[in-house]
Amino acid sequence: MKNYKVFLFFLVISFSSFIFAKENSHSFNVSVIAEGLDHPWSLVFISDDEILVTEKTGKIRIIKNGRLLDETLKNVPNSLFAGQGGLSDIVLHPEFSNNRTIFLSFSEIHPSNKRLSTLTVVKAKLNGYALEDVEEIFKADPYRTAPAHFGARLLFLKDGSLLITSGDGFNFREKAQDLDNHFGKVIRINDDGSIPDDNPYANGNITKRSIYTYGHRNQQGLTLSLDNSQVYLIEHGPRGGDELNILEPSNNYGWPLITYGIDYSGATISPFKEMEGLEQPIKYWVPSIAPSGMTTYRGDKFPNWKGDIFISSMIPGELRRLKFSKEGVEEEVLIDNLGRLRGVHNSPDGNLLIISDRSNAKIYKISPK
Amino acid sequence: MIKRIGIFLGITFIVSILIISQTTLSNFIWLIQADMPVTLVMIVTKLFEDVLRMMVIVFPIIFIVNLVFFLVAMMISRYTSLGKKRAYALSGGLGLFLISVGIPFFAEGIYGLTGARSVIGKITFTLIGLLGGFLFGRHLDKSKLETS
Repeated sequence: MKNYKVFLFFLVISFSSFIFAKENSHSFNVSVIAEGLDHPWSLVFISDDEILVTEKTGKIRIIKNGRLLDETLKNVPNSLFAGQGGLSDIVLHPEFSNNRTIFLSFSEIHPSNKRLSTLTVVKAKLNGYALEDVEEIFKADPYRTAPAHFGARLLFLKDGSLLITSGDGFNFREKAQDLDNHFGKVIRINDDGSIPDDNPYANGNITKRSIYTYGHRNQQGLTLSLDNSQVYLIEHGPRGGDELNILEPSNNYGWPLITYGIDYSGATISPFKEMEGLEQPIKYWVPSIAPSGMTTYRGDKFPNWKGDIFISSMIPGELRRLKFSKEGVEEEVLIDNLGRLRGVHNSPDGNLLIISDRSNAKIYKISPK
Repeated sequence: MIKRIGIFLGITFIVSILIISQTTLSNFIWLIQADMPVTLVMIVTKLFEDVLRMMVIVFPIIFIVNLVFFLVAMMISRYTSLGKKRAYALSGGLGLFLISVGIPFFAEGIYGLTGARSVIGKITFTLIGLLGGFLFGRHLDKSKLETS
């Protein structure tokens, strides 16, 4: 009888501990902070209570004090809203509080041939809710025939240089292996569009010199590790083969020489999954999850999550948490009931924001319970 | 009539296999050009896998296109002196050419069958269509001779 009571006591304690642990790691609220957005793509906080949200349709919406304003940002450059193209990423200059400079990526139509488009990055001054001194600092070369696989994610490194993901244009995947174009590349430039002297391909034309890494497909997530020492990149694979990579200058990430996926039609793109001289992902997904955005959690509201990587995905629509340890990468799905997710971002108050996809989209806040 | 349907399905199947093979082989040709260690066993294995995987997508497309264009060929051969072999071959070729340019046209420039991206790819698609149409036209000519 005594043994039975002891057993029961430990059973209750163990069960309580389990519940407590689950509460610690999963205890969060999901609330809507804005709705009615039209194909939102990215967002950025310009102050603690002001958010700019890009919509692929070409507008930049403003959320102020938790309310989506009818007013939109003025003087936003024209972009091509077609296929996967449109107004895409928005980031602040590292010295934004001093210079009020922001950076935008978008797809743009060829001036004389409407069948062609490319990825463009501009910088501009933010004056109130209007852009001034809009200046083009990067244009992917050459133009592409399909408005697809633009990449378009932006990230400032700790040295002040800007990384730009430029996708393979879908129809030009083989060119991801050539260094004479911007298909399937990560580009590194200075904040004025000039090319840093320490880029890996210093001896080449201007296109080659701007290349930081190559052999990518459609890279839509970029984030720095918590200590800013590593750059993580996530990219869409074809049917299967989405990849999480650690970026190192001059590395070749293999697409389409090696891949864990097959073509949408079912065709073999390459029978090779690894090859000497070509980088392996630190994680890959088969079947695809369609990773659309990524951030490193930097807040204090979820101490257990600090430094973890969060990935938004579009198939079937999930928020995933990745934790790195000596044993490898642990992964858990935190949210899977909000539909296709377009992005995930830190908020200055330590919460996480996630953006849903397509029309009538929402921005959700993830906060502790 | 049943025999004719059987021949039509058989030719559609052959054309589908050739289109799939063209797509797979064009990918392997590029890999070989990029100095990847491709072997013959690899090609044969992947070709077989691709035929099994892609047939559900490719066969219905070829079936519909062949059906429409062979009906047109039937009308042309009935009212012109072009002859069955030529009429069906031209129609088959035109049908496959339209697949090679039509998929990207309707899919915002995206080539669903990547083998058709290049000019050579489009020519190959057209030649495969020509062959399929020619074989069907020849069968019709033969069966006409047998019945007359």
